[in-house]
Amino acid sequence: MRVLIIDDEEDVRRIAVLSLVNVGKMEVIEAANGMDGVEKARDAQPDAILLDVMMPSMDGPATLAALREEESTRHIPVVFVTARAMSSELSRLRSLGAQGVLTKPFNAMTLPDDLRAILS
Amino acid sequence: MIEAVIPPDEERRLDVLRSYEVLDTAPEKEFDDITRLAALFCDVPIALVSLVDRHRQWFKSRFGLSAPETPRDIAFCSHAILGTAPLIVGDALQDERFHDNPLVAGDPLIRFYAGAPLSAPSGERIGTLCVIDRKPRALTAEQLEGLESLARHVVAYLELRRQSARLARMTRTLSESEDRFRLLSDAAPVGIYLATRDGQRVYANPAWGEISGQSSNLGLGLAWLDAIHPGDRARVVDAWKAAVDENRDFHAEFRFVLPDGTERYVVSRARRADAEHWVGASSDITQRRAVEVALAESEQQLRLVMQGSTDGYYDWNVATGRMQISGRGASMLGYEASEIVPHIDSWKDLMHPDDLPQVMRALDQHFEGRTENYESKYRLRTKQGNWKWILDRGKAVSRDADGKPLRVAGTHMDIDEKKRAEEMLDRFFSLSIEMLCVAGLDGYFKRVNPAFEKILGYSTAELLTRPFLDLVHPEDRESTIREMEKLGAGEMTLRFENRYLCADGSVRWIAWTASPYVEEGLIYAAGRDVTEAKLTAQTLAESEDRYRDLFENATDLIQSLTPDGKFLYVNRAWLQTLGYSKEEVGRLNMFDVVDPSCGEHFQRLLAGEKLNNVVTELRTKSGERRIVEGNVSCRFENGRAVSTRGIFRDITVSRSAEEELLRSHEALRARESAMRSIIASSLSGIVTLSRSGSIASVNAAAERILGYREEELLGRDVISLLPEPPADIPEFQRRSVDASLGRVTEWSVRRGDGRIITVELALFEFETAEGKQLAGNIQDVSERREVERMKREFIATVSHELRTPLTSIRGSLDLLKGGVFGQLPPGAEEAATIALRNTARLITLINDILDLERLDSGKLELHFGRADAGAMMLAAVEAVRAFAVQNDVRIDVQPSAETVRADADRIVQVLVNLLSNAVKFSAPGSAVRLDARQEDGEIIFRVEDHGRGIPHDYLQRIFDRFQQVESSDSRTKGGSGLGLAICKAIVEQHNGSIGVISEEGSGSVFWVRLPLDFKPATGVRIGLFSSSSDGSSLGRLLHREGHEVLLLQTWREVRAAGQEQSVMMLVVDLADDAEAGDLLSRLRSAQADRPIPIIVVAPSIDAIRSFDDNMTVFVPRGRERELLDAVRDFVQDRGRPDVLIVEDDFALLNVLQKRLAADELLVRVARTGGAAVAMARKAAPKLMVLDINLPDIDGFDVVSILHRDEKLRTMPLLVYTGRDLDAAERGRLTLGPTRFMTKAANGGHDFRDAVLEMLERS
Repeated sequence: MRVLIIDDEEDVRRIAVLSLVNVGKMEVIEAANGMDGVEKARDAQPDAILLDVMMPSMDGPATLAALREEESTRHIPVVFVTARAMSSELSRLRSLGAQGVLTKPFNAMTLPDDLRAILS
Repeated sequence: MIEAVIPPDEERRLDVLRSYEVLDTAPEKEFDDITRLAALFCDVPIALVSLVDRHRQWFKSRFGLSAPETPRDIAFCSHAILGTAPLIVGDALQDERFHDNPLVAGDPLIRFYAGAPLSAPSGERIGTLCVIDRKPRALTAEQLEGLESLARHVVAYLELRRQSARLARMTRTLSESEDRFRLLSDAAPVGIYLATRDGQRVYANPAWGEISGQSSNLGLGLAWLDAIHPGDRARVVDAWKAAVDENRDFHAEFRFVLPDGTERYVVSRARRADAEHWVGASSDITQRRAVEVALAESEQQLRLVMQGSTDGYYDWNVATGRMQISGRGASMLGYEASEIVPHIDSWKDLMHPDDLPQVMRALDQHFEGRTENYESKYRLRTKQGNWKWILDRGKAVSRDADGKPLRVAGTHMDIDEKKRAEEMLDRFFSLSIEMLCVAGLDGYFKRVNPAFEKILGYSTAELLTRPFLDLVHPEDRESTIREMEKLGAGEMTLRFENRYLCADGSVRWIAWTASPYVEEGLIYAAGRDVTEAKLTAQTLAESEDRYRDLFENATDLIQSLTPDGKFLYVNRAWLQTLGYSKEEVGRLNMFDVVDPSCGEHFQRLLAGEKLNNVVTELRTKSGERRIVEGNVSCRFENGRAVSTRGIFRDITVSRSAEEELLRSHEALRARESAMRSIIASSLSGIVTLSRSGSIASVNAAAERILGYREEELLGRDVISLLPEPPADIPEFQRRSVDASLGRVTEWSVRRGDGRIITVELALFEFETAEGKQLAGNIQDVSERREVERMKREFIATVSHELRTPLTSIRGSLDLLKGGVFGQLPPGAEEAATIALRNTARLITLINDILDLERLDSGKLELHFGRADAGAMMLAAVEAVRAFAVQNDVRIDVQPSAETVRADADRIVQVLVNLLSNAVKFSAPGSAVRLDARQEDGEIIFRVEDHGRGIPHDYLQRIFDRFQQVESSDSRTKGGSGLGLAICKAIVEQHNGSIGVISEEGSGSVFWVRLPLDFKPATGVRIGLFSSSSDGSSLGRLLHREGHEVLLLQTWREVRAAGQEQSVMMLVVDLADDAEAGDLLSRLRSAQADRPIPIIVVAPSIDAIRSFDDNMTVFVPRGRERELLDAVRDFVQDRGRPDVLIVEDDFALLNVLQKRLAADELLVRVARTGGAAVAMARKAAPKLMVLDINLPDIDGFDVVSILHRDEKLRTMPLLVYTGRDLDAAERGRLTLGPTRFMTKAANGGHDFRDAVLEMLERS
């Protein structure tokens, strides 16, 4: 399973990679911003995308919209990762067309399973 | 031939014709002369007077024609009467109306015709005067004029004829009636005559002749005068003349001397018949006269007899009513005999009306023969007008065959004096308030006066029929009998007292005086009711004491003086105030005490004046002056002053009270000045307003806050301080005062320097002598608001920014501790554990801060629903179980069976918080208990621990933020210090309360009370903008419904309100549809991330045509009910998940609706696919329940349509169908989270669970 992580925080990104690779035995591609993420998604065609919501310039929802516009990335399931845990925020994010939402700080030991649960 | 039409007035015309009575009469010369004249004048052979009858024309006169009449239908005259002008037919053969007329074709061979209509004075044309020739010709103008003139003559003759006929008829009738009258007159037994004014008889009937003795010539002319007795003649002539001159009836009685020398008495009357004639009648009264004379003679004799008697006498003819009364009878009444008309009626008139019935009764009895003599006593009115008693005794002296009385003779006796004396006695007897009686020695009352009835209560009849001893009190009977015996022996009784038993059961004391008449066996007695006297003698003594007491104890000064100024009596207060002893008073003269200036007063008193409210001075023994005020009067006996009495109040003290008042005024002034300086130096601005809203006073702080100097503010309208003046100022004032009074409200104010600041205003009302005034305490809160806003923002940002690094920290520690990179050495493992625990604590702290911030700002959404209290308790216990085990604390739980309306997650959060606190502060091995009970519509959760309790000082602030009992606890036990503050905020949002009972050293009990049937407060904060004057009434309306109304004056304020968190809804009243769309779209875009409901009140729905989202509702202006409904819908739907059920089976739909009825859900239904799509588009539901088989488009179509809509694509869907669906079908039926249920396999409960579960997840 190949997962693309789009997050501007390198530390967070690294922890997620460590978790998904080491605990989840997944293949992970990283992107530090939305633009880069859309490009990598198009090129690498991952099975899922973990998308940070709060990013400079192109934020999570904008990135999602871009992914949905592109023919080649439209079908890829997207899971938001957000530091805002309000329920209204979560439902707003879901309504944008993401498959699910994970909140920060996530449990690194369970992250791969949580992701799989959402995608199934 | 053309027949003539019938004139419209035909019937009337015929009536007029007949009224002339001329038809079928013999020829008359007058008419024949006219026809002849007409024929000659017109030079024609034929002339006719033709009268047009109903079916014929009849000729009254015909010259040159033999036929007496012809049928109407062929008559030329029928045509002629149709017009007013003459009808001229020059040549009948040339005229279509007549050319074939038989009178033309045959005899009399008419060729020429000229007919002038005969017009009656009333206008009807009854016929013609016509001329006829047998050859064609014309008439000259003169001839035509002559014909018309002759026609008028014909009518004139006809009129004349008619009148003379009427006259003749009248004469005939007259002479007939005269004949009848004469017959009657001749037969009459009385003399009847007709006389001229001078008395000449022009007619007389035979009876008259006979009466006057002139039967030969019936006494016509003036002969009758000669026949009158010479002694009467002049009188009769004078009477006649007077009657004629004065135009009244003649009436005379006189004698005729008959040829044989005898005298005949005659009465004659005459009445004016017309200007010249008088009709009269005379009767022979000789015989009557003779009887009268005879009677008069005999009466004369009787009268002479009676004259000697003092009694009057009368003779009454019952049949005629005539009643002769003797002179004595009249003089008794002060009349001359001649003054009383000798008739029974005039006697009756004199009689007292009250006595008349009794007199008539006595008379009737006598008339019927039941009494030998008639006798009655009655009163008659004397000439002077007073009443006199008469004794009337009479007897019917003659009766007719039937025994009916004809004549009654009797006497009148003057019994007035006797009767009056009797009456007087009677009156005394009955009026006396003393009991007067005549009693028999036999023991019975013979007569009692009304006082008996009144005092003893028995009726007179009863008193007379009972032995009076029965009525005497048994104890007094013996003494009464003894007293009777004494009376029987001829002794008088003086003041003998005994008791009588009254009808009402009471007993009365009677004191008797009596004297006996032994020979008659009677006692005359007078009794007096002395019961009261006996009683009052006793009461009086008591009451005297009482009054003396009253005087003695009065605080007023009471004195009584003799007219010469000695003290008769003074009361205790008097003695005390003036310092004298009772003995000393006896020696005092009034002026020792009373001011000498009162001498004049005293004289006035003795003169009988009463003096009220006199202020004077009294001197005390020690010479001090007391000012007193009071009333004095004087008592008189038999016109002599006996004593003066005065009651005074010492007002010396009151005077000094006034001074006291002055002192307190000063104190008040001092206080006021203190208040003034406090106000002046106050840090908050204080402004007082006049009723009209102008500023009346400001303090220094208000000057500073508002940025104006005092002189700039005074008198200024407070509204001018607003950034934008409202449209309707008086209305605004009223609303603002209503909305602000007694509360703290926030206002935007423009300072003197133009800066707009936010102030908090506490408006209150106070009462002054000038009426109510308003005062406001203002504080500039702009900075505070700004700081608060910044703080909130800061916290939110910081919390978020903290989470990001925490994510890496926690993730790293997770991985390390989880052994992902190999097993850690024991020390490292422990260090990682500590790091992880503190990371968790930090996360908790951040979450708490965020929660609290959301609760503060209203961003924390609560999802109310039915919540099982027991389940919540168990969930909470489960959540802390691990922690409890770790701390070796046992948790006892007693789950409740109650259900509450609550946001279950949040309540669990509260319970978890309380439980973990309890565990935290419990000693290892101890227990924590969680229970709940229901009480008065509330559920009370209790969390009890046996820890060390909370110090009393902390109890008050334990629910405040960042409060922990000791700072060291925070380290040892961990926690943000926000937990209880969050609990409090959550509980309060449930309309509940939270608290703690604790004793230091023995543990604490935290309790949470929640209403079982909690509904979020219905009142919400609504922003109201109105472009019309309706705004105020809308505001009041919403306010009445419990909403808080924020009045918005400008669109800027509307936009600002739309973004404000506390405003839940906007009501926008627009005057004009046109501007609405633009304004609304700007409004919506300004609140993009938090759209709130907007209710648009506008003239028509066009206002929101382009705004058809489910958050905007249109209400036509003036429909208040609809507006309130719309507001209520939004308020109720707020936070209520809505479910759209699409199902065409009505019965099933009902069942499904019922399943969800108990839950806080907004259920909408659609029965067709089309409706489902429309409704979903209008307002996206939180969940759609969809059947596949629908009447129009099926479930697959609905899904595919919704899928194309970006907003609806992710809508949760519950497919509820009877069909088994394969994987491909399921794929086509997917929107957002989608679940499939089979109708057959799933009961209602599963359905409800599924719905609730899906709603919860979304």
